[in-house]
Amino acid sequence: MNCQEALSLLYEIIDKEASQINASQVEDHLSHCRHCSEIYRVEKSIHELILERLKHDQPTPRVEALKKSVLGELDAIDSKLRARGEVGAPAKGASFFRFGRYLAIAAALAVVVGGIYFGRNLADHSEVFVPLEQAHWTAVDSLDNYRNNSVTVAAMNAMDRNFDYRVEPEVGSFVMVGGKGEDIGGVRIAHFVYHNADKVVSTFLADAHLVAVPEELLDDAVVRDGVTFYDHNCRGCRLVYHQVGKIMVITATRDRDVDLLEFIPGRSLI
Amino acid sequence: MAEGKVAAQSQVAKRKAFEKEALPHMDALYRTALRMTKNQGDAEDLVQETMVKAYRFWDKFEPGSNCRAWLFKIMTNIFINEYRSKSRTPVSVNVDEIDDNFLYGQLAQLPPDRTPEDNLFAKIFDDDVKKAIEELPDDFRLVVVLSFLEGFSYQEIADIADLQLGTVKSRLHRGRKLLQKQLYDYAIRNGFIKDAAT
Repeated sequence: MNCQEALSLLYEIIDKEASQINASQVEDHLSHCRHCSEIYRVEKSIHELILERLKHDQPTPRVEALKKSVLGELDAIDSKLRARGEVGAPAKGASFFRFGRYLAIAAALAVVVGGIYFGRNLADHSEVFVPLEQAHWTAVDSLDNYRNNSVTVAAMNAMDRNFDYRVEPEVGSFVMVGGKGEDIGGVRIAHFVYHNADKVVSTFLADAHLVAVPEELLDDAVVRDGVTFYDHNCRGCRLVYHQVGKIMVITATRDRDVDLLEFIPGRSLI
Repeated sequence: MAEGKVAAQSQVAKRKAFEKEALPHMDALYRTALRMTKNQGDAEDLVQETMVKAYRFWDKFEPGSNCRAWLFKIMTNIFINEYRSKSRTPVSVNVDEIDDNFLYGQLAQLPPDRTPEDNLFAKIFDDDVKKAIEELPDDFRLVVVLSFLEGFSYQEIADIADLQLGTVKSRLHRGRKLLQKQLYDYAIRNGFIKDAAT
């Protein structure tokens, strides 16, 4: 091992990240190279100095108060969940999304419980898809309504905070125009709009407790890369549903040559 | 209703597990939050938001895996999303212009009356190091703090900050150079050592 190689491993050695082989080769080199061993010695003591100085960085007293406040927040979450009856009560008046809360179990139980939960609530086709299609068409005609940067950032942060869903600013060749919260069919939905030349794709994001895959799509699941998509294609507007954790993701487009199964507008980071 | 009872029990169990596993890491989270946001108010908000989010997504935590790293991942994520733009540090030095082993190079030029670093080290205090770290640009500061202050491995930092392993190494390397430069400039300004160049 020459000097250059030995020095390139300096910080990995100091941080105890070097492999055993590398470490012993470096040791071997240092034993007969004064120049390198001097650099190692000084760098090690600089590192130790910094760690030593940082050790006293223990702001414990403030954390005790903070803990109390966090526990208070947890109490609030707990009691909210209890009030909601744990599984999430159906949102009153959320017309076409009302079976949403059952989606988590729906995949497994759809066949069994379908008749009970879905059967009696069968929504009219127009109730389920039309509000989303209309929201997409409106966006296509007025992209500028989505260009407010701070509103967009706030909406992206809200998705991350509430659903652990990081919305991507670019999806393939598409770039995000912007996004905002909208009231669609009585449910609060985040609507992000992407474009690529004249092609436009909408992404709707909502609490999966409130927005479900419509029953009529459940039989036509398409699995790609481990993700299950539910595809709805009619009247010139295509809608594709897939769920990520606690969030329902619905992409929409009128452009036939956009493959929505390839359009993944975000991911979970935790 | 039996179903409701089971749910309530699991809620209690969840709360218990969270308090046992996650709560003890708040000191470390706050320590890092303070170095990242550079002020107590923001640090408290950041930690609080982290804990609340961790609780809400507790079902995603795999029992037995590294809870501390998981919490830091959540906090880092929130920091990058919501706090970074607020506290962006202007990068006044071009890192690539700083030599490798910068401090060694400077110290080696000093008169060899003592081991060269003694002069410098005797006078650098806790606050000086903290200040030097706080002056690092966000991206470098994050990896430096996770490594130096929290002792996370390169791989853990890569997972926490959602970075490639190589990026972690290079940011840590560049962060070190900046840190050395800052400590050196600080020592010169305060007359602890004389600039080797003069």
